[in-house]
Amino acid sequence: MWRLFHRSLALFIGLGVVPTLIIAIAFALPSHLQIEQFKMLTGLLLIVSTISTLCLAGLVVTILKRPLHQLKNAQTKIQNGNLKYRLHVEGSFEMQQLFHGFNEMASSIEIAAEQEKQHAAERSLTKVASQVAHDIRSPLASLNVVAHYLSEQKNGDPDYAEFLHILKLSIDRIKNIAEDLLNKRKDHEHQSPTLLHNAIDDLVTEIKSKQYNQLNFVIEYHQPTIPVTATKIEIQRAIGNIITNAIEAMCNVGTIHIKTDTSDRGVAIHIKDNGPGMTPEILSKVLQGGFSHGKANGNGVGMTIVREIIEKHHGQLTAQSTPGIGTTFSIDLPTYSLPK
Amino acid sequence: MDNTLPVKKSKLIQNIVVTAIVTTIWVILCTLGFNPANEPIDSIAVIWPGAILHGVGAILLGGWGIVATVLSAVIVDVIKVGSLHIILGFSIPDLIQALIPAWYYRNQIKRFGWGPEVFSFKSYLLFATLIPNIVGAIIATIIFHPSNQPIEQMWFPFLRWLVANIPISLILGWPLLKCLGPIMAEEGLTVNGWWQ
Repeated sequence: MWRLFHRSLALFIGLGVVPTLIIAIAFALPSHLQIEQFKMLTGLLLIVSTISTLCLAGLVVTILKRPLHQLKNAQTKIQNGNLKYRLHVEGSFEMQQLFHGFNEMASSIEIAAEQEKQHAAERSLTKVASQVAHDIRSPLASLNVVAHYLSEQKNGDPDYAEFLHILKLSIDRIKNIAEDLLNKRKDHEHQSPTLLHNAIDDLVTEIKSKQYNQLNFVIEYHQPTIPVTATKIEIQRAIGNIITNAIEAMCNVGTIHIKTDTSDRGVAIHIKDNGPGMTPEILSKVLQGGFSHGKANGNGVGMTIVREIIEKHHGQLTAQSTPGIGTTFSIDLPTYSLPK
Repeated sequence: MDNTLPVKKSKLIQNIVVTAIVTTIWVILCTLGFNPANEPIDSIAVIWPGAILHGVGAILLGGWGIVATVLSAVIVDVIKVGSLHIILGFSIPDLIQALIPAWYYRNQIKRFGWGPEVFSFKSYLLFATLIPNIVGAIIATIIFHPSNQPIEQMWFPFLRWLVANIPISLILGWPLLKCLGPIMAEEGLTVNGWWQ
């Protein structure tokens, strides 16, 4: 593969150096070898050398400018919206590398534009849906009042009981759908960062206010404070459920160690207790959710909620436990980053 | 709001400088490659490098190319020949030989810009080499034909004129135009009209 330097060097040698060498040889010939009527050959050689050098200048600049024109052309096409345009990778080694890099950049731009388009469509749809949900609330409220009035008027009438029940269920269902749509919009809009340590501090303060006299909290924070995308309520709910489970497993006596640190994903929150611990089989079921261990009124909903919150924010929940020593739950969450 | 009129940069200085450089180069080349022959029509060179400038200079520089052609020819004749009637006599065919391609290509540039039509070999062969040199040869032969000699003897100097100009114009002039012309046009060193 020709490199730019090789091409330029070949041109300079062929069109610049060789004619000059020939002239030098012609001048150096002994006079008896120089044919009288062809003395002008030297002059001709000089003319050829001059013309070839001028041609050389033109060719070198053309070689350098051609790929620049192609790049400029490609840049204009992409700027005008033709995101699929790619350069044909050809020419010297350096130009191939340059064109290849440009094509990769263009692919990234195309992908980013597609994603932005999709996001814009989603945002638009969410906006419409939430607008509908918002507007629906008022007539729903009226329907609710009417259903309630009818229910009072026809109380005890078996012919109407079923229909009224269905009416109430349907109104509740529409109301829940509308609430859900509105909540999704809020989640999508209000993705401002939450300071993790502040959220944990407030949670621990709230738990301590319940007067667990024989319960200790040891908190070890990574500095500086780490922002995450989950809301404060969600963080407190997730960590709170784990802490509540730990307190109940320890029968309100013991130490809970909360530690934050950086991790590959972003931030890791470790909640360690010195309770009775669990066997691997029980631990795995607890992590899946819907399973309760060691609690009289437990139903496993708490861990399910913890998993849902963590998965919603692309995090990971893991745990380690040793029977008789304690359990450590670890939550891995991505840190907050500005939207691109 | 900017109320000043846009300032158009004059290319006069550039054109003068380019003309001066071209003239200098061609004077040097023509004094080295020039060999006056002792034939009935004096001072027709065996090979005339100025033929390159007739074509390429006129195409790229318009009126300034014509100035460079005539000026360099006059200076060379002053150095090599020294005879006033030769100097003035040759300046007329030199002028015509530069004028023809300059005129033709000004029209082409006006129609097509500095595109492939301007840098085609066919156009160069006809309007920058054959036609101008044939016309120039005729004029030169007529001007310098001694009145006491038969007209049949005009053929030899006429053909010598063509041999001195046409091959060098094709062999060296055409590559020069092809290599340097487009890049000069792109960089704004050419003259689109007659003088700017």
